[in-house]
Amino acid sequence: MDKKPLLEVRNLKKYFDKTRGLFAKEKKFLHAVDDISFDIYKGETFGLVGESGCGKSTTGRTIVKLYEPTDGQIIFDGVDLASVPEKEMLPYRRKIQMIFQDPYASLNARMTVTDIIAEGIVTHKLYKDHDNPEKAIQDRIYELLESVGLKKEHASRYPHEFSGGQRQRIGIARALAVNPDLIICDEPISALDVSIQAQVVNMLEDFQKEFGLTYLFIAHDLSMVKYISDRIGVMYLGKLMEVATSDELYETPLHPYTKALLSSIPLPDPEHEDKGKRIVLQGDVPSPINPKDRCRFATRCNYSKILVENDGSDFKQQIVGKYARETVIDHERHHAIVEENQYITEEIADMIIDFGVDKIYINRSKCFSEEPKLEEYKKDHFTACHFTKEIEEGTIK
Amino acid sequence: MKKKVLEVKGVKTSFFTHLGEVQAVRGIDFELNEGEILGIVGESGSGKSVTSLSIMNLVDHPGEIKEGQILFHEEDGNIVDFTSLSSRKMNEYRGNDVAMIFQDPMTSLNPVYSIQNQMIEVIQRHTDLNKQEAIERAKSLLEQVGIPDPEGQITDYPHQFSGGMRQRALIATAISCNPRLLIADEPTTALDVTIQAQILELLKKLQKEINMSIILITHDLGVIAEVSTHVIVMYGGMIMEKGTVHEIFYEPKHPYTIGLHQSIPQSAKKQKERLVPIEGSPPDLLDPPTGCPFSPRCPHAMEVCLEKAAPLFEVSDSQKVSCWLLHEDAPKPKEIFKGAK
Repeated sequence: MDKKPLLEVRNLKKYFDKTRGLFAKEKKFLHAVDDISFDIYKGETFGLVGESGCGKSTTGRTIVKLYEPTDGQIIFDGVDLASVPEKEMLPYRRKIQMIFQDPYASLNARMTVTDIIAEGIVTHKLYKDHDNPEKAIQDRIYELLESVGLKKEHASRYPHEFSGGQRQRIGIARALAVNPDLIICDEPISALDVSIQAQVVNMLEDFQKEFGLTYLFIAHDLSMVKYISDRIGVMYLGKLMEVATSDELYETPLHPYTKALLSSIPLPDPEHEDKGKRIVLQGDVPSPINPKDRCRFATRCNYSKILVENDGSDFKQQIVGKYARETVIDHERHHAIVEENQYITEEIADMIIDFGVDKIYINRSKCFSEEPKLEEYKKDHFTACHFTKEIEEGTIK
Repeated sequence: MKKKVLEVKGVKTSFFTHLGEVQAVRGIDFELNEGEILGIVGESGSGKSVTSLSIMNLVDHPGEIKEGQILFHEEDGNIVDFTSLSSRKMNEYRGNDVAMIFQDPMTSLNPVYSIQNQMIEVIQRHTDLNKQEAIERAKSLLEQVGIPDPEGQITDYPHQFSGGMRQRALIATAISCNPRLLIADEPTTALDVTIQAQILELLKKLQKEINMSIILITHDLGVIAEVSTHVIVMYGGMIMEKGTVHEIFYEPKHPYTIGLHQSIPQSAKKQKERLVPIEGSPPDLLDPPTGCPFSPRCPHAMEVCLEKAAPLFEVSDSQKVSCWLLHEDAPKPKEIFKGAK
């Protein structure tokens, strides 16, 4: 593989203004993508995974400038797309194509397959110097349909006459029609049945070999992403948590979030040796609106909490002035004594002790006050965690 | 001898649309014993959801259960056929003995009522508890399904809950009357993997705690492998294969089951092998193939497969396979089974 980046994303940010009302006291910004950087090399498949709302789709859409980036650079083949004015984007739009998740919504129901595929060819005037452009375009469409496993007869039909898998093939043909360099595949197989997914994935791989395509493959299905990608970036709440080659990421994940995410995948193997060793994360993904300066994963991370046990000596001193990690419930009254992330004052500490609580988890302060940077921990393996070294060495549990 | 909970006998369910009769379920038989978690796996249009609606007798116009019996065994050994009950009589069983949770936790909750109101409505309908007792019961159920601080959150409205918490609240409501059978129709499909893991753990825990049987409907083989004890593989409205989870994952016999296994990446394998897709697309249930529904896509289809659907051939006490290849006169091509792990 040629080690030349085709796409360099530098400190990309995309915020959405969620401020409501004329007299709102403060601006609310949804930090969909918050300062992420990565490279995609020519001819490789870069996978972007994460749960819903982590900003993976926004990243894809911002790269093709369907969304105007808030800040940062998108350097494609040496040109910073973020600073290219909208009017001059056309030639780049040809080079970067997109395949969408929903094969029902992404094809215009009132256009025939021919019109759908030809639209890009016409817009980019690909056959304008040809003697007989109409014939050339028609031939090209037949050729494309054949290569995605459809027939010539399908050319005059409408999208509703096709199944989901066939529609996704039309979407792929549309993207290929303009000879792109980079294709952004935004969850291209999530809406398809298992038996159809493999057909589409195999086809994408064949085209990559044949035309030397580069893919940005966005998905939440981790096993498929591992299968198709050369390198993978893991996103959480608008941040990149870890970037590594796909084998490395799956065999020796470093970031606590990646570890939990990987162990959450239900394996289609009921007697697998790792069964039962699952890391189940507590709680939900926090809100991406005006996030605080801290590790985005800190609220759910198993390493960002410290267990304090009441051994009779300085329990109170240890917990006063700290933040409680979990809700402590009075089981008789189903009532919370301390809420999650509540600051423990002297009075609360007394209450905790009065209720006979003998151990409590408190927040590790560095995780909750400082944002870790994505740094290279070992060759080609980047992670964003304050305590990677300690966790790997086992000094933090 | 294990106690039976449910017997489904020859059920056929169709929907009569303006295009014609959509034969969603075309004659299925299975039974479920106490304490089992039965996974029903299939692709969209395989009839797995209609099966669950049929069991609950919830098939609505223009649909209809055309044939068959759904025999529910009560705790005391009494057997009732759900298909013969009036909707009023059926309501006594729904919620009490059989409960159901659905894929989308937002649409199953009413957005204008608080979680508390929705839960006590169910609890009071099925028990003699007064309002205060019902609220207490609701709180302890919420605690049981892992909602932190039930006291503070029970008066919240559904939109204040996240997807995972909504599904927990629904599960809490479903188990409020200690049902003998819980039907979970794609309970984790709308959730993220880390939340899915929480919900699956919860279902396993509850199954043990209150010893109910679960029917889990999903398209995800991973989810099935994670929680089920028994598996049914459906395709084109029919059962292709059923057996214990071990049999379906390690000794699959039906070409469709084998095809499904081959079309997902095997994360255990280090070497990257090309995926083997199942060619073609699922059958049109308006005009299903006369023979085996999988025959048009099956690499081993014979004459007989196109003419007549195969009966369930018995491979072991628990494993039954609907495929003519298991007939004693059928050729036994070795390569069919090489896909099995």
